[in-house]
Amino acid sequence: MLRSAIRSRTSREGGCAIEPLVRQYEIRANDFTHAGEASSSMKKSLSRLGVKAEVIKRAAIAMYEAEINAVIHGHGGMAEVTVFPEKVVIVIEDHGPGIPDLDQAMVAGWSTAPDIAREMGFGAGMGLPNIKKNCDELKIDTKVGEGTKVTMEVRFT
Amino acid sequence: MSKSVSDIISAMNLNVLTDVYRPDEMIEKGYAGDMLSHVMAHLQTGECWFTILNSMNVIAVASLNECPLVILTEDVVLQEPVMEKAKMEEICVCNTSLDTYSACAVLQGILDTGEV
Repeated sequence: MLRSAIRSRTSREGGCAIEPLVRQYEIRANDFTHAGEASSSMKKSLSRLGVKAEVIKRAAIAMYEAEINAVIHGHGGMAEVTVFPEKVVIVIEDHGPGIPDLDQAMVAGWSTAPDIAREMGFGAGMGLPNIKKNCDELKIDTKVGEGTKVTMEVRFT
Repeated sequence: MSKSVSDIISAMNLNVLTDVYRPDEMIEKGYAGDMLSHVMAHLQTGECWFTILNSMNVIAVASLNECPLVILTEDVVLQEPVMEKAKMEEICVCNTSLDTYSACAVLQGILDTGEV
């Protein structure tokens, strides 16, 4: 089950107060039933805000792939979505095993997904390449034995 | 040539498992695939999706891609929780006894000739 929470942050840019919309979600390990709900919720939020459909699709694909990675590989984790006036920033952080060879993991077709994930249609080795393709900015911090933090930014224009 | 969702359901004699939520949305071609990341990457607007997968994740991927019609081949059915999710997300899911290759060929014939 995903838990979400909404809070606001106030910051000042150019003298004007802005309050980005922030949502947080729990991602449970190996919970394929609810996998994708955080991405779906984010998609609906962006749609309500009038973001272009093409941009929403890119953000949703990137977040879904990262969410699935946390479900399959990361022992679950947390997702945080921050919507700014000009972009959405999505952070998915897990405390799983980390990625030993990030360059290898970025190669399309490379997968270490277990059989149970493959049986459900995952494990094509397209997750990280899909994320990279659909983000304007992507940062992956990973440490073996400690976990992985994926920060994705998709701009609205 | 393109055909509406309702025309394709009728012409392919599909068994509707949910409801038809966007009957007038136009379909220009199909996409066949069972690896979800490939589907996420390649399923385009105006395409229906042929698959033998029937998990909750099919509905998630269809919803994220705004896919108006999912066609389960080889008589694959949906379990009740997945059916409920499809209805909640307003994703039209149908099935057919045809295998994926044959179902795609039938769709292409309909799109090529324009006959319903």
